[in-house]
Amino acid sequence: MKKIDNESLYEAIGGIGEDLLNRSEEASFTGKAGEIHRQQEEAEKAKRERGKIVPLPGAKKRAVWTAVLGIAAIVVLGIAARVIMRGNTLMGGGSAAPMQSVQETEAVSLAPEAGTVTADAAPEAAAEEAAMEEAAEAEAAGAAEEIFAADGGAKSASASAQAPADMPLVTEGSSSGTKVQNAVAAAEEESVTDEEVLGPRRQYRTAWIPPGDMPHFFTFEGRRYDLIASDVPAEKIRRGEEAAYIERRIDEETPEADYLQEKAGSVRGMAYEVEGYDKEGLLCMETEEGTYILFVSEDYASVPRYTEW
Amino acid sequence: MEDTAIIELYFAREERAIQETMQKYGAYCMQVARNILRSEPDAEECVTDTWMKAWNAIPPERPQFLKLFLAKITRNLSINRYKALRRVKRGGGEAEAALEELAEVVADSTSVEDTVTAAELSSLIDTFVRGLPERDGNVFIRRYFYTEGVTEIARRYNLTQTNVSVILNRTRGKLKEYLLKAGYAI
Repeated sequence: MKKIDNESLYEAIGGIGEDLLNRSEEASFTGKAGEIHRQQEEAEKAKRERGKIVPLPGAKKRAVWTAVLGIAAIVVLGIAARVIMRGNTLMGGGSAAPMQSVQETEAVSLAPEAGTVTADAAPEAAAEEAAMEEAAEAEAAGAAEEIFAADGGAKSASASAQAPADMPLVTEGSSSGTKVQNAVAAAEEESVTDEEVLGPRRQYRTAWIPPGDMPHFFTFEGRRYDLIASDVPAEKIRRGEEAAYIERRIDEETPEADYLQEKAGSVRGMAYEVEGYDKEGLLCMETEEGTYILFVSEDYASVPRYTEW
Repeated sequence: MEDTAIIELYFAREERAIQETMQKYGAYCMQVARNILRSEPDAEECVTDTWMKAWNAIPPERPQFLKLFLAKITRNLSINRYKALRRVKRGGGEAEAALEELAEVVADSTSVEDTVTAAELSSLIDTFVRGLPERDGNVFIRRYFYTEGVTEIARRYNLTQTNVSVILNRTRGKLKEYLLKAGYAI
């Protein structure tokens, strides 16, 4: 009898005829598989092209914050203009009064008759301004949260830039702090409702493994986790607690220097711990079929190997 | 550039041959190496070595399929590197998985009379794969030559993952039987 081991067998498979290798290549992605592959490639290409507007998370953040700062600047300018206009109106000049600076308004308000009115109006305007700023901040935070919560940045910066136009704060032009606060509350309530309706995170909780030659991995707590087994039946493992939602922010276009992004990878879905194993070593994702995909970290020494699943 | 033109560049000993090869098959060879090795830098080194090996091998060799010729070189280099790395640290990834699966085929052999040469075994396996139904043979090659994951293979041939797993399991069983009949310690 001749001795062979699995390593020599694995090596010997390297000697398979090139015609057979070629056959396996040629049979790839033909028929329905080819159709699906083409569709997926087109989708990926379209996504990449869309991504040119906001190609990287950093650029996305910059775009969002630019829009937010722009909105804030518009709101502040609007408030300033209205404060000046109000000052002019209360001073009795009304429509005929020329534009004056805040300092000028304050100076004129020292006059006995108009002074009383202006003195009352000033705190109101200040309160309004403060509320406006608060509202702008709330809106900014809401927009940023919504955009980053959505998978792959589905909402663009331009969408967030349009948001303030719908805000009651600007369109109603109320002078009351209470009204402003109500509007802020309404805006906040609306954003919560949107998230509940859209549920971007919940929508993609099951794993999505993209087509292509990209290795399947993600980064969690600074460690890279690579796909080690797929199609693991649910009865073979016990899913533990949620570890992190992994966003797919890495694709073939991503420079390798950007691979190490926390809670991001070339796959998407909720990563769970696996009961009986340290999350530092093993995490899993659930598939739509109810099976599991296992990801092993670089610190995998204690994790069972493929065939044991 | 056509493969034949690239090969002619090798024969003319023009270094542009390597550049053209890298441009055409760089990503492909990287994937072959990446499937076996879990580390990008290691895979890159293997692919770089592949160009040198190809440069030294052509001529005298004139590959019929340049792509597959390069794949074989990359695979061999990657396996060697994998083994070296494995000595330092236990493996992982698809190569480890493929090896573990193949361990089902071979077994502890106490009555060893001879050690088989790689060439003999390669020839046997080639014959075995040729005897398989085309689809099963292709799945076997993707798994154990290219070290692709079950998910990738399923997508490639429009099969379910379970289907791929079943095909692989059945094929390993057949291989075991085949090697036993051929007088190998299993």
